[in-house]
Amino acid sequence: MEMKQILLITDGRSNVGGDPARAAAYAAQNGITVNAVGIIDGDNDVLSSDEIKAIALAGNGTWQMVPLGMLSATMCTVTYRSMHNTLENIVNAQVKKIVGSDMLDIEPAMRLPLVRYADTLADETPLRCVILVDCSNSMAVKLKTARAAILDLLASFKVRRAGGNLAVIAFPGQSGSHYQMICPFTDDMELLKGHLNELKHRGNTPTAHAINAAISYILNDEQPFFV
Amino acid sequence: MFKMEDIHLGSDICGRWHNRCYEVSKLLGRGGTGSVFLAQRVDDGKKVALKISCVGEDLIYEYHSLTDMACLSMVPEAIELDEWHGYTFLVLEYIEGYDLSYYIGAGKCSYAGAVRLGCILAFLMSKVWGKGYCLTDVKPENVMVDIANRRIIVIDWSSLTEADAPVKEFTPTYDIASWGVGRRLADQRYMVFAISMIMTVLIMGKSYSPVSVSIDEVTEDIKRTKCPVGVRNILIAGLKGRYDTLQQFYNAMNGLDIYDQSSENDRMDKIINITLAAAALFAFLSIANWLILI
Repeated sequence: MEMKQILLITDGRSNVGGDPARAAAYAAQNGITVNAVGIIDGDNDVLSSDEIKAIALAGNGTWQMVPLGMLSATMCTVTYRSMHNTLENIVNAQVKKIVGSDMLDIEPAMRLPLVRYADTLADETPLRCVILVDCSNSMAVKLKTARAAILDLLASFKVRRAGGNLAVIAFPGQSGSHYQMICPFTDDMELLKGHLNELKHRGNTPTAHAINAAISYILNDEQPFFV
Repeated sequence: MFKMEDIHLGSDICGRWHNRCYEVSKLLGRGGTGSVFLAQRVDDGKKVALKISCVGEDLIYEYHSLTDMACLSMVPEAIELDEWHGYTFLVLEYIEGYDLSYYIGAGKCSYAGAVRLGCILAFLMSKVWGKGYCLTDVKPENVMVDIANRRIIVIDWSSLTEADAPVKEFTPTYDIASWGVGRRLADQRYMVFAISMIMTVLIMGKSYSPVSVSIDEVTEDIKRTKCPVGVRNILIAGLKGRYDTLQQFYNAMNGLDIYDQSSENDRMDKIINITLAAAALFAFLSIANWLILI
């Protein structure tokens, strides 16, 4: 088994290309979890948690709204929590099969062995995660932090027992395209670092297009360089 | 479904499993996944801290961490764990006082106070390590000075992680990997770094962010302070990941001669002194116990 995830980083509302929550639901149907982190911006607070929440709910994932300074720590906790949830659902299904009742029918203080088991399984399951970085104009001053946070996430994967691979897609892409492959799946810090310099801010926020591109990349291993 | 934002002052939170009710009296803090309230137990009016979260597993871990670590002093009492409207809540001993972030600011904490505090934290973390764990999210906001009972207490144990497992919960400023000094792995070097950074922040009177400065800039800042060379060297060695164990770090701090007359009247210093004495007594009793056993 392998866990497949999409992690969306954005500071604004999607404004091109349809409903991102529908795209996230399509990802979930294909066994891909969609998590979302919204960056709260003091001066320009255009992002409401509604869209972020809807994307994560439709994508069976987790979400959080954070100030820029907490981006890297939050990307890490959101990813881990989502992996835990995926494995906890599997453990829960097993428990149901064996004892006929749900984990939630057990008193929380007695649930520890199951929670711990789910975490151990999560740590031993390979992970592939596509990070979707909003590169619209409002992200201009935040891209430096986002680059550091992405490198940081790969550093976190390094200490997992099963390791992890990470790919980065920016949206919008260059010369009018909706998205652009920045870095294909890798576990190489230096390679990722080099590619991340290609993250440039431009244009609007075609979130649904980006999620669809990530889905086809994960499922078919096609590198979506062009729309 | 009942939303967490709907909890307001006067709301009753009643547990599904233990049937005890708590009346919310004040919001103490809000995080990404939950909130902490000051609450009163309806049965007897006891003041408690009530932590409520939509991520049940975090509180399940924290409850067990607290009960596992209850034998150490400097740990708040975990009263009960229950559920309400699909949320998990943890009832904790309420501690009145300030957290260490209150003491960050020019001249608010003496270097001697910071070193004594570092000793206490290193001592506590070495005990935690001895039990096979590592507390990864240690930061000033999570360390309280309990004025009523004159003790230092670590209030948030949700980040307790098994030794040598990946670190899942951290704050960049106190995280060795965010600074590029070491790996994000729950080991002794990770904890030494966090404690060194807490001491640095207290002594320098300001916080640092790995996004905007490098670790070399922090150590350069330390070199420019007036505090004794011995203290500076320990901080720099801690921040550069040069101590392999908490014991080495503790011994280095304990070996310093930094008795500071000017901080004698400092209230926090007094509490720190008492906690250190208690810690020393605890260590002595552990050894004595061990000697009796053999």
